[in-house]
Amino acid sequence: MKGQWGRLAGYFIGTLLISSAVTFGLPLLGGGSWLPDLVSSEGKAIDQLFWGLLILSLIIFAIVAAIVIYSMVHFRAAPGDLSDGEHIHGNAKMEAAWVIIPSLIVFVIGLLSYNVLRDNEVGLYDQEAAAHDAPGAAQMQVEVRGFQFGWAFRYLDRDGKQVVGEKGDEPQGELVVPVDKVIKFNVMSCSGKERLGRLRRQVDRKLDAGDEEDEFAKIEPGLCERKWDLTTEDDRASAEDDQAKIHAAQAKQADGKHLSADERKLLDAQPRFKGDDQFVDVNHAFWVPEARLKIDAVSGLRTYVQWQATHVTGPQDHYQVVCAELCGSGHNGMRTDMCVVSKNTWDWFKGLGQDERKTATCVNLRLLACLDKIDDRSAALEDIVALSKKHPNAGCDQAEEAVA
Amino acid sequence: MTTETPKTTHGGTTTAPRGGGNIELSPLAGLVGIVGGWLVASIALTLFRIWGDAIDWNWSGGDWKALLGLTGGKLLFVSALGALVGLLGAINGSSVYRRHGLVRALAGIGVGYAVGAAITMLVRMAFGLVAYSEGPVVVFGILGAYAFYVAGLGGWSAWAWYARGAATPEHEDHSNHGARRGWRDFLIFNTDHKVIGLQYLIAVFFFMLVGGAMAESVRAELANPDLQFFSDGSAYNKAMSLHGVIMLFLFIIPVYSGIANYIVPIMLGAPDMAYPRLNALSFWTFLFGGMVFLASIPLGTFEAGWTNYATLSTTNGGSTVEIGQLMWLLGIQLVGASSIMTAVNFVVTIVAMRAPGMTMWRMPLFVWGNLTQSLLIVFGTPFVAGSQFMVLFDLVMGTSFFNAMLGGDAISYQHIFWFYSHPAVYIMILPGFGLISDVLTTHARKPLFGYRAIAISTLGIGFLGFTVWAHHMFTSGMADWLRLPMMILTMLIAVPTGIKVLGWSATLWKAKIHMTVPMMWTLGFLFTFTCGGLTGVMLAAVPFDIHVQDTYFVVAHFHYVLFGGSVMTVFAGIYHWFPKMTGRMFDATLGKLHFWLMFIGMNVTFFPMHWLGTLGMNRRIADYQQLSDNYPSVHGWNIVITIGALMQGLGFVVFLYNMATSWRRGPIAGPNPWRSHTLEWQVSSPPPLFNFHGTPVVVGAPYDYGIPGAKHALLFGETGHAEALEAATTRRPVSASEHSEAPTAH
Ligand code: HEM
Ligand SMILES: [Cu+2]
Ligand SMILES: [Cu+2]
Repeated sequence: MKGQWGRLAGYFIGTLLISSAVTFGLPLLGGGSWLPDLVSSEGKAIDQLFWGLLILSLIIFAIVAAIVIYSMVHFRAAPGDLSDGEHIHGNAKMEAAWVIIPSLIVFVIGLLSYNVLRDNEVGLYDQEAAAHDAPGAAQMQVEVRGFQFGWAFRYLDRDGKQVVGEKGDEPQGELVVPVDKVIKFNVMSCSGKERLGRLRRQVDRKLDAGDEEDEFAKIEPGLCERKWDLTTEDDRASAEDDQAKIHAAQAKQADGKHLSADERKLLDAQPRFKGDDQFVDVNHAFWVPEARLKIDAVSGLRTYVQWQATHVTGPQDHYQVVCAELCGSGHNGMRTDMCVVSKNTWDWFKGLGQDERKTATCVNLRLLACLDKIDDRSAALEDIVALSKKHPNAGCDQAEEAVA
Repeated sequence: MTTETPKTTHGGTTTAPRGGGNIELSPLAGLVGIVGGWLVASIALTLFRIWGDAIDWNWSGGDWKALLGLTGGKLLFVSALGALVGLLGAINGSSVYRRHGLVRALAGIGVGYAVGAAITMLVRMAFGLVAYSEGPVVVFGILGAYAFYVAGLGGWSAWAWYARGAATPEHEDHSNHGARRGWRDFLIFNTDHKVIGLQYLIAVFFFMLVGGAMAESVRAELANPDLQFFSDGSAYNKAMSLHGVIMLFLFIIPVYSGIANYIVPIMLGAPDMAYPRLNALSFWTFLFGGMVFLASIPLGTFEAGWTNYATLSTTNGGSTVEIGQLMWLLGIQLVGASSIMTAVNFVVTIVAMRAPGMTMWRMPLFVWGNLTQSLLIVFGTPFVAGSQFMVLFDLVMGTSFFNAMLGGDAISYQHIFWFYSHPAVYIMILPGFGLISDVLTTHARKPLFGYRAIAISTLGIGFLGFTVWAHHMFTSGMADWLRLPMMILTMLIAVPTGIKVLGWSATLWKAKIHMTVPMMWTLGFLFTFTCGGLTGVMLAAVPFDIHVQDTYFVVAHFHYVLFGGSVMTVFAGIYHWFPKMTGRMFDATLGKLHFWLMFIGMNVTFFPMHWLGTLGMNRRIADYQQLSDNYPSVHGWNIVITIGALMQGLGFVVFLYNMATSWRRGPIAGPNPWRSHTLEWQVSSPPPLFNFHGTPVVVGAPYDYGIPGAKHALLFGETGHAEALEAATTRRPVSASEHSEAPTAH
C-alpha cells in the first residue's frame, strides 16, 4: 500500500518534469518565447499572474495525468482476464476535499487577479480618483479611432486639450507616446467611408426626418472625416471614379432615361445630405501586445484602457498597434507602428508642424532614440529619414554615423 | 371529437412496400437523369439571362434577372441542383421514393422558394415598391422552400390529419417507422429513434468532412506568411467562418442528438422517444438548415465568424455580398429550431418514459448529461435566435438594434449572443461528460467514483453556465464592474468540472482497464480535456484574458475543450456503440491508427497555438507577415501546426473508411461485446423495432461492476422480472408501463 503511494508520487514528479519541459522548453525553439517584450509598467503584474497560473496549471495537470498514467500501467486487465475491478463507488472525504480545495484555489486566484486589475486601472472608471491626481491615474490622454482598416490617434492633455498639432490637423496614423507617463486611451470606432452603404442609408432616413444635428457627429469632430480616411491614391481614385459614375446616373435620371440595375444601386447608396460626418464602423480592438492590454473599439461607445510606457523604443523594438477583433476583409493588415519616445523628443515632437510630423514616423523616431542627447532633432531627422529610406533595418551605429 | 376507425391505406397507395427490397434503378436512367437535369436547368437559366439582358426588362424597377441574381458560379450551382433532381427523378421508379417523396421534397424546395418570393414581390408591388429586393425575397423564399420541403416529405400530414379530426394511418400501420427495408428507410420521414439517430450521425459526419476541409484550407493559408492559398482576406474569412459554423452548429451539437437519439430511449427502457414525429421533423429541419449553410458557399457565403458580431454582420461582414449573410441568418434559425425540438423531446422522454424502477439515481450518466444539455438548449437557444433575428431585422428591415447612429447599441448584441453561446459550450460538452462516464465504467470494469457527485455536478455546471456569459466580453467595453462577478463565477465552474475529472481518474484506480478503442479515446480525453479546462481557468483571470482575448491562445483553449473534449468523447461513443448500432464490430487496428493520428495530430496542432497567442498572434487573420518579421519563430510553429492538421485530416479519412467497411463487412458483434450492464446492451444488436419485447424493469445501479451477478435491469421474461415489475410499479403510482408497452405485434 505504502509503496503504491510512493510510486504514484514518482509518477507525479515524472509527469510534472516532462510537461514542464515541454511547456517551457518548446517555445524557446527557433529563438521564440512565450511572451513578447514588455513595454508597460502595468504588464509586469500581468506577466507574473500568467506565470503563476501556468505553473499552477502544470501542477494540477500533472496530478490528473499521474493518476491516469499510473492506472494505465498498473491496473491493466491481463489478456483474457474477464473479472471486474474493485467495487469502490466513492469516498465522501475525498469528494469533499476536491470540492473545498479547488474552491479555495480559485478564490485566491480571483483575489489576486482583482488586485492586478485594480492597480492597473487607477482612476480609469473612477472620475473622482482621476480628478484628485491619485498616483497611477492618467497624466495624458490619447484619442484612438479604429476604422476599416486603420487607426488614428490624437493627443490630449489630462483635461482634454489637444497637445500635438492644431484642431483640424490630420490625426496621426501611428501611435507615438512619451515614456513614463500614465496615458489613458479613449477608444472608439468610426468611419468616414460611404462603403457601408446600408447603414448609410439608414442614417439618411433619420436625417431626412429633419434631425439635421446628429448627436453622434458631435462626439469627436474631425477624427473620422472622409478626407483623411481615404489615405491611398487608389482609394482616392476609386472614390473619384464612383463620383463620376454617380453624376452620370443622376443626369440620366434627371432626363427621365431608363437606369440599369447597377446605376440604381449606386444611386440608392448615395447619401442625400452634405457634410463630412462620422459613420458607424464595425468593432475593432486596440491592442499593443508589448503593453499586454487591449480594449475593443465600438461605434457610439467610448472605451478606455490606460498604461505607462517604461522604456524608449530603439531601432530593434518593432512594436505595433494590432486590431484584435475581426473587422472584415482587411482585418489581418490592420496594424500600425507604435513607438515610445523620451521626454525631450516628445516636447520637440509636440511642436512640429503637420508636414514635419509626417516624416517623424516610428521607424525614424526609433532611430532618433539612439541620439537622445542631440539638440537639433529636426536637423537630425532629415539625415535619419534619408538613412531609413536606404536601410529600413538600420541600427543605432548607422544612425549615429548618419547624423554625425 | 369522434375518432374514425383507423384506415390501413391512404392517398391511394398501399402500405406494403412494393417489390420487397429491389430498387428499380437502371444506370442508364440515372445517367440520363443527371445529364438531362443539368442541361435543362442550365439552358433554362441561360435563356432566362440572355432574355433578361437583351430586353432589360423592367418591372416597376426590378429586373427579371435580378429575381434570381444568377451569374457564373450560381448558374453552375443551380444546374447541379437540377442534375440532382434529375437523378432522383430517374430512380423515382422505386416505390419508396414515390411514396415518401424525397423527390417531392426536392421539388418542394424550388416551388416553395418561388411561392415565397412571388408573394413577397406581389405584396411589395401592391404597396408601390420596387418588386425585387434581395433581403425580403430571399428570406421569404427560403422560408417558403422549407415549408414545401417538409410538406413534400409528408412531415406535416399527421398534424393536418389531426387538425381535421381524421385518423392518422401511419401511426397505426407504422409504415414510416423502422429500418425494415434497408437503406431506403433512411431517406424517408422516419419516426424510429434508431433510424433518426443514424440519419443524424451520417449527416453530421458529412458536415464534419466539409468543416474539416475548411480547417485544412485555413491551415494551408497559414502555413506561410503572406497570402498564398486564398485570394484575399475576405476569402479567408469565409473559409474560417464556415469552419467554425459547420463544426459547431452542424457537427458538435447535432452529433450528440444523433448518439442520444439512438441510445437514450433504450437506456431508459422505452420503445421510442416521447414524440417520434417531432423527432423526425427536427432531423429534417436540421438537414435543411445545414443545406442552407452549404448552399450559401457558391452564392458568396458569410464572413463574420461564427460569432457574427454586429455591426460587422449588419453590414454584410463588410463585403458587398448580402445573400450569404442572409442564408447564415436563416440557417441558424432552422438549426436552432431543430435543436429546441430535439431538446424538448429528450426532456419529456427522460422525465416521462423511464422504465419502472429507473429512478433518477439509477439513470446512466449519459442520460443525466443529455437531460441537462436539453434543459440548457430549451432555455438558451431562444437567445441566439433572438440575436440573429435582430441582426436580420437590422440588415433587411433597417431597424437599428445595433446601429449607434440611430440609438442602437453594438455591445448589446454580444450580451444576447453570449447568453446563449456560453451555455452552448456546455451544450457541446455535457452529453460528452455523461458518455465518457458510461464508456469508462464499462471498459475499466468499475463503478463510477462518486456517481451522485458527478450527476449533481452536471446540473451545477448547467446552472452556473447561465451566469458567466460576459467572460467572453472582458475587453468589449461593457460595464467595468461586471468583470469581477463574471470572473469569480467562471472560476467557480472549475469546481464541478474538477469533481468530474477527479472522479473519472479515481474510477481508474484498482480498475481492470481494457485498452479497447473506445477506452483509448476516453483516456486521451482525460489528458486533453484537463489541459483545456486549465487554460479556461487562466482565461477567467481578467488581467490575463485582456492580453490574450481574440488571440491564438483562445483558439488553443477552445480546441482543447472542443476537440480534446467533445470530439474525443464523440469518437469514444461512436466506437463504443458502433457494434450496437450496426450489429458489427469495427476494425480495432484502424481504430487505434485513427486514435493515434488524431491524438498526436491534435496536440501538434493546438499546443503551439498557446504561445503563438501570448506572443501576439491574433485570431482570424489571413496573414501574419508583420508579426513573423518581428518574431521569426512564429513562422516555424505555423508550419508545425499545419503538419498536425494534416495528420488529423488523415486520421479522419481512416475513420470514415473503417466505419464504411466495418458496417458492411465487419464481424458480427453480438448483443453485448463489452459486457456492459446498462439496458441498451441487454437487447440484440441492432435492437428490435421497439427495442424491447416487453417492459424491462430496472432493479439496480447502472455501473455495479465488481459485484458478482449484479444487475441493472431485468428484461421481460427474465427470472424475477414479474416480481420486480410488481414491486416497482406499486411504488410508482404513475405507471410507466403504459408507455413502454411495446406493440409486440411487430
Ligand atoms: C483538423 C482539425 C481542426 C483544425 C486544424 C482547426 C483549425 C482551426 C483554426 C486554425 C482556427 C482559427 C481560424 C482563425 O482564427 O483565423 C479555427 C477556428 C475555430 N474552430 Fe477549428 N480546427 C479543427 C477542428 C475543429 C473542431 C472539431 C471544432 C469544433 C467542434 C472546431 C471549432 C472551431 C471554432 C468554433 C473556431 C472559431 C471560428 C471563428 O473564429 O469564428 N474546430 N480552427
Ligand atoms: Cu480588425
Ligand atoms: Cu463562455
